[in-house]
Amino acid sequence: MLVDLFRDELFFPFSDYATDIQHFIGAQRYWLALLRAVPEFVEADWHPVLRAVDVAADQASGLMLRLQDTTNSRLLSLHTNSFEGCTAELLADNPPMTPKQIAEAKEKFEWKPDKAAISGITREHAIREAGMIYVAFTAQAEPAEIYVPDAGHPEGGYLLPARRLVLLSEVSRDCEPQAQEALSRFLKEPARRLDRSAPQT
Amino acid sequence: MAGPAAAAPVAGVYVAGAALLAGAAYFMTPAGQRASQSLGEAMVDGGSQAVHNIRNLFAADTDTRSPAVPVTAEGTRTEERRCDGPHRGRLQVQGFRPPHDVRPIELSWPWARTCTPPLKPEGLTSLSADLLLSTRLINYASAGHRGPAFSKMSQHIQSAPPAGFLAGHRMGWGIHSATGSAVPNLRAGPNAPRVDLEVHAGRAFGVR
Repeated sequence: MLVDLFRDELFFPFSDYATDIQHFIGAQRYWLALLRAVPEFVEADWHPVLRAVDVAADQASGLMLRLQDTTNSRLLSLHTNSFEGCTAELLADNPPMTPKQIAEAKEKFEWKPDKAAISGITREHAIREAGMIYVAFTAQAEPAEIYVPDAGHPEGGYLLPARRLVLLSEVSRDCEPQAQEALSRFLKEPARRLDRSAPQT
Repeated sequence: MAGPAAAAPVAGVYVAGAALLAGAAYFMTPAGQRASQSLGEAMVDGGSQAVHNIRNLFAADTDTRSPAVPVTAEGTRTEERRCDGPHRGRLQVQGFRPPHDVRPIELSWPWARTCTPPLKPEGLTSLSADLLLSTRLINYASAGHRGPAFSKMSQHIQSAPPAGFLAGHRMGWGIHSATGSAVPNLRAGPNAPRVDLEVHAGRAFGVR
């Protein structure tokens, strides 16, 4: 198993990826190695999605790789996962609310925030909530769109209908086979090679 | 006997002087002033037309080539002239969770702008006036169930940097079935009731 090759790494299993950049980088190396180990993965087809990288946001969500294959209309989002990461994400996502935000939540969205939401959740609260929602592995294939810049297009580019795999997984012996299976199945799906002469707007 | 021969040039001077005086007197009359004004306007108009023609010559030259990125020339203020588009993306309300939802919900507020991105007030209005009301029209309970996710998205738009969220930005909150609270999409589970933002190109929800 690939995970055994990383076992001797200093920060393995990289569970503090959300708060420690060394863990984040270590996890990124693991996921790249795992993706390259999937036989159906043809590296030449895939390119990173061009974007303004927000490292803090990527760390919080555990985003390892976001790749796109415009030839076959596919997107891939790989997220590393851990209970500690989930707790840190919930903590960062629930800061204290301002009086204006509380008023807006009640009046505009008809949501009455509880005391924890108003004062911002504590670490203990985040651990408790993570205990209720944490799942070590999830994978979901969903419809998506790829934006293709095209100088000759009247709108400067067009949206290409695509399939996206969103994979969230721990670095562990239990999750590695599931992640490999999900990637393999997604990459084996029949490609939707679109006619480029008739781009969809 | 040089009298008549010498008198002719002198008479000419007198005639010319009289004509000048008559001309000056004419320009002092209202009719004369109108004629003078028209002449001045004609000269100014002619000059501006000449400048306009030069500008048109340049315009005709550039019109023959299609620009790589659409540009605008309207306005004279810097912010009106700038064009950093295209700007594309969408806000979405999705998911299905009975009994809160009577049917799957898939609402979208997309934008595709050549030059000017949607700014913060527009994003907030589209969220609360467009998407929230559309969700309520489908089913009031669906909107109520997604209340925390709508609120999180509103806070997120309000927290956008001055330049706005940039291309590739994705954020969303879904309602977790166990807690009923809004958690980041990845944690909410498949098909959870959720509110998403995706910026495909350009910028969105900045202040300018």
